[in-house]
Formats: sequence, structure tokens, C-alpha cells
Amino acid sequence: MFLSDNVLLSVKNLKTYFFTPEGTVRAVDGVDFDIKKGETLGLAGESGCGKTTTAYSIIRLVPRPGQIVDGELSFEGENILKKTEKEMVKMRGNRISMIFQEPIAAMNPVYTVGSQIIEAIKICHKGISKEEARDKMINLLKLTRVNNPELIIDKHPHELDPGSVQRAMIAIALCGNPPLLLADEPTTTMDVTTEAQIIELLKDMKREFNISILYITHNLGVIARMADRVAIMYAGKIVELGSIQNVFGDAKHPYTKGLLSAFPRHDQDIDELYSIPGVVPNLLSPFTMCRFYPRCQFAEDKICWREEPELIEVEPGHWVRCYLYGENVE
Amino acid sequence: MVKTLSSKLIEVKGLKKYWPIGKTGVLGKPSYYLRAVDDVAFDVRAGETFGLVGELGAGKTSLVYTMIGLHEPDGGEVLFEGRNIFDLNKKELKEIRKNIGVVFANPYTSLNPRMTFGRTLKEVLLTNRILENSSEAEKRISEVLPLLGFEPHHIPRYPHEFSGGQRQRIAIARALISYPKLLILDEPTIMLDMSVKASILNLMRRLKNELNLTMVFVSNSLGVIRFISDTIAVMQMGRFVEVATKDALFSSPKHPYTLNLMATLPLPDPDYKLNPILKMGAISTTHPEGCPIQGGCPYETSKCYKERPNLVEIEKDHYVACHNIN
Repeated sequence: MFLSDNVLLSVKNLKTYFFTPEGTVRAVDGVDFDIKKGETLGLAGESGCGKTTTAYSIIRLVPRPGQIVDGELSFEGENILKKTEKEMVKMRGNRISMIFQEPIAAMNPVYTVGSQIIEAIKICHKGISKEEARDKMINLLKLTRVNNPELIIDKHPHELDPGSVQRAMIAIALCGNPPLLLADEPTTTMDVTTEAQIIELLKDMKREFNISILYITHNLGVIARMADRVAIMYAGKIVELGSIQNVFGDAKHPYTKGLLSAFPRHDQDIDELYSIPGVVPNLLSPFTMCRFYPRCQFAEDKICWREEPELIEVEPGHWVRCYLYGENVE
Repeated sequence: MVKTLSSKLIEVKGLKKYWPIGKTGVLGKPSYYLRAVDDVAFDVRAGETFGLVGELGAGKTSLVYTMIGLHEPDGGEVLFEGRNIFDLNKKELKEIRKNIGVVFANPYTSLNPRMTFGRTLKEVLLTNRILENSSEAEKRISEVLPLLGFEPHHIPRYPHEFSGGQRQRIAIARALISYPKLLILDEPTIMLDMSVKASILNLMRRLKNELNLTMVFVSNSLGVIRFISDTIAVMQMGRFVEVATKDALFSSPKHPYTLNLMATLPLPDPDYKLNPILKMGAISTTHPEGCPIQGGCPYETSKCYKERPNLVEIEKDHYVACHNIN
């Protein structure tokens, strides 16, 4: 993965471990990817594979006992990991924003939605007057297509539907015009119709402001609709990375293939779904072999358990971490 | 697929469940009622899987809970093998409930953390006096275990020792062990991961055929519903908008809401194009007078703003609630 001028964020060998009393949980164990300017990268995987921890590492908000132990996060040419907490506070919201899974839980329940947006605007734009901030808020809410902005600003989060609150959250996230938005399962708790609206909104916002989005979800359908490229994560590592066309149209990694054939499609009659045997490995012990080896139907005894495969480029822009591809095949 | 000759196991007629919203004080009157289940009627035949699909807040869970007497109904009746369960006294209701197994959405909260797997199952059999003694119960447990892919060494374990998928299989075992005539599954796969979801769905489909189960399967995913059901009801805002056999519903969906649901579900397929029918954002989230999709529907007429359409049989066994389809 080469650096070019077009790259906004480059993550190299990111390792975030949780030091728990039971041992070290290697939640993110060597993740590499780039996000280009104006691009949406989807990060998909099952729960516990390290998607959210990756996002929290980028914004440097890993909760204790978690710690970023290794890696390089270069954002606009600067290494985020070298920044002090004070510099990070300035970056969050202004340069990198984040929206969360449950918008109503992410907001403060005792303040009105409007006052929380104003607070964010005042932090991003120092010295802004009350009237200007209010105008900016109404504009942002119109941009995020809230039906009646004047109606929702005096309400508390619990009085509104999740779709409206998520729109307000997006308004907060965008008020500092950040070049990068981290979206952590922003539509998981919503129904299909609202989800479709929020996805369309995020796509429009991305075009309008030329922002890059890291879109995290376990729903492969949403990724196909939202993202330009997709990274499939398994047990703390990326196993496949490429364009939507490449990864979903011509999946290479056995895990990706398994996930795609386990998806109950509503446009086909299916007699039996493929189910990946076994369970997600315990992240407490370090891996000496391919992490998917115990569940893999294509695994070869000779190579797969010997050491971990590297990400290799099987076609331009399509990377796979598997011994079945590339020159490693014996 | 649908065994038209087999008898109706459960008949639901005009079922209503209204939730009071915005109650103030002890004697305060609620400001309005949320019509979670609003005059719903259907029946489930023996050996059939009835799939109930709808978005969040459509009233699916309220409907199944009211149907088996877990919520107090606000109207209507439910006939289980011909007897209205709302007319029964506590003892009779308990008798009927032995015949109904329920699997809840969240396997992390639906199992008692202090009970071992074996005790969870034994409790069902002995408390309900389905089997007389402990040794008979153990025999029954050993029959059920292999069906769900468990081994005898799992019996003394506690719920926290199992993974999410295994816990859901324990919940299914608990529902199946009492030889229920009806199995209710309320979003059994919603909390599970992608790879585990597939194995539970395969298991349910296999059990359905092997044991000839009668099921009411609730899900918000059309794909899951298509995989498991024989007959499907699409629910929106407390009512059914379309009821049909699986083949009829997917080969010729009629209601604009159903069409929209099918056309807006994203798939992990680069060539799949979405094609929403309803105008997004225009549809009210509260109960309006008339059809709830008014304002967003391309086929609407002035009648849609006045009157909520009722289910009409447009083809054999295919019911649609829309003013503009005939």
C-alpha cells in the first residue's frame, strides 16, 4: 500500500491491545489501510473483530485498559500517535469526527438537541456570536434534511425518533468541516427505510463537502451500498481489501466467501445457507498460524498452520491475506 | 408447501393491543394510544410456518405476545384449537401454554444465568408436569440434545459457558422439549453474528421439516423470512398490508409498501440496484387518518387520506390492503 498525495489517512500496522486481568486481548493486531480524499471505506466484520477499536484508535479514544501499542497513523501527513492529548482535543470534531451506533444514547439526555449542536458549533468556531451560531445550526439541520429544524431544536433526544437524532448527530459531526468522518454502525438500530435515508444523506454529505468516511458495519448489504472500497476484518486483522466490485463480485478470501454465502438474500430462493463452521478464535493468545485456518474449508495442512499469511495484491487494488493466492502457493 | 387440508391450529380474529402513551400522574389519562396491533386477523395451520415481517415498531412483537396471552389484549380473540384463550381462567391458560414454545430475541438475557443447561430443560418438563419424574425428563433431554447439535457433556454447563449461537440453541431446546404444538420465534437471529445466524436458520429449517413444526417466525429481515416461511404477512403500523404464500409474495408482490421494502433492502452484490418505490421522508411516523404510507405512495388517491384500507383477497390466498389494487 503506497502513499500518494491523494491519501488522507494511512494506517500502518496498527496494534491496539486490551490489558485485562485475564490476559492481553489483541483486539486490533496489525491493521493496514489507506483512506483517500473523498472516499468511503467500509470496514466490515463480525462483533469482536476489532472494527470499533480501530475507529477509536484513529481518534485516540481507546477506553482503558486498552492501549495503542504499535503502528503508525498518518493523517494529512502528520502522525496522530505522536500528538499530545491537547492537540488531539483540537483535532476531534475539527479534523476527525465520529458518529455512533445509538444516536439517542450518544447524546446528553438532559440538554435539548439544539443546545448540544450550538455547543459543538461554539467549540469548532471560537468567538462565534449567539445569532450566528443559531443560523449555522439551522443551516446544518437543513443540510442534513431534518424536516422541521425549528421543531426539533427545543426537544430532548428521547422525544425524537432515532432518524432525526442521527441527523442532528451528523450535523454536530459536520459543524467543524472535518475531512474525515468515522461512522460506527450509524444505522444498525434503525429500520430499513430510515437506514436507507441516512445512507443517502451520508453519501450526499460526502459529495458536497468532499469528506472521507470510514464506515463500520456488520451489514455487508449496507457496505455495498455505501462504500467505494471495503475491508473485511477477522479477529483483529484485515483479511481482504478492495473495491466493492472486486470483493463482493469476486471474493477471494474463504472468510469473505463464507460470509457472502451465509447472507440470506431476499431476492432468491435458498434451500440451505452456508454456515462457517466453528467459532471466532479467542484473542487472548497470539496467533502463529492463519487466524481463519481452524474454520477454513480450503485450508491446506502444509502452509496454513505454519505462519500467518501476508496481505498480497491479487489484482490491482485487491488485497487478500490467504495462502491460496499469490506466489506463496507451493 | 402450504397444507391447505390441515386444520387451523390457531386463529386470530380482530386482535387489538393499544399502548397508552404520555400518561401523567396516577390517575392521569394517557394523551393518546399507540395502536401497536390494530385489528389483525390471521390463522396458522398445523405444520405451517407463518412469517411475520415488518420494520421496527410495526407491532410484530406486540402481536405475538398478545396472541399468546403475555399482554392483555384490547379487543379480539385468539382461538387455540378452537378455544378462545382470553376466556380461559389461569389454570386453563397454563394448560394451553404447555403447547406453546417461545424463543426470544436475546439469548443473553432469556436464559437464567444460575441454571445449568440440563436444569433449564428439566424445569420445563417437571414444572408443567409434562413428564412425571426426573429420570423420564432426563430421557427426553437426551432425545432432544442431538437434534440441536449438543453433546451430553454440555448438560452440566451454565449459560455463560456457551457462545451466543449455542445459547440461542439452548433457548430453542427449551422451547421444543415440551412437545409444543406451536413454536413462536421472536427475531431469534437478530442478536447473532452473520456466520452464526446462518447456522441457526439452517437448524430451524431442518427441525421444521423433521419434526413437522408449526411456527410463527418474526423477523425484520425479508431474506430470513423468505428462507424459513411458508406464508408471510407484511406488517406496518399495527396492521397487515399484505398476506400471501411465500411464492406468491416474492413472485408478485402487490402492496406498494411490500414492493418498497423489497426494493430498498441492500444486498452485498455490486450489480444489485436499489429502486425505492415510496418517496422517502414524506411518510408520517405517527398514525395518520387513512393509509399510513400516504404522502409517499406514487399510486395514492384522495381516498387514501380518508380511510385506512382493509385486507382484500385479490387472488386465492393473497390478501392486500390497498385502495388502488384490484
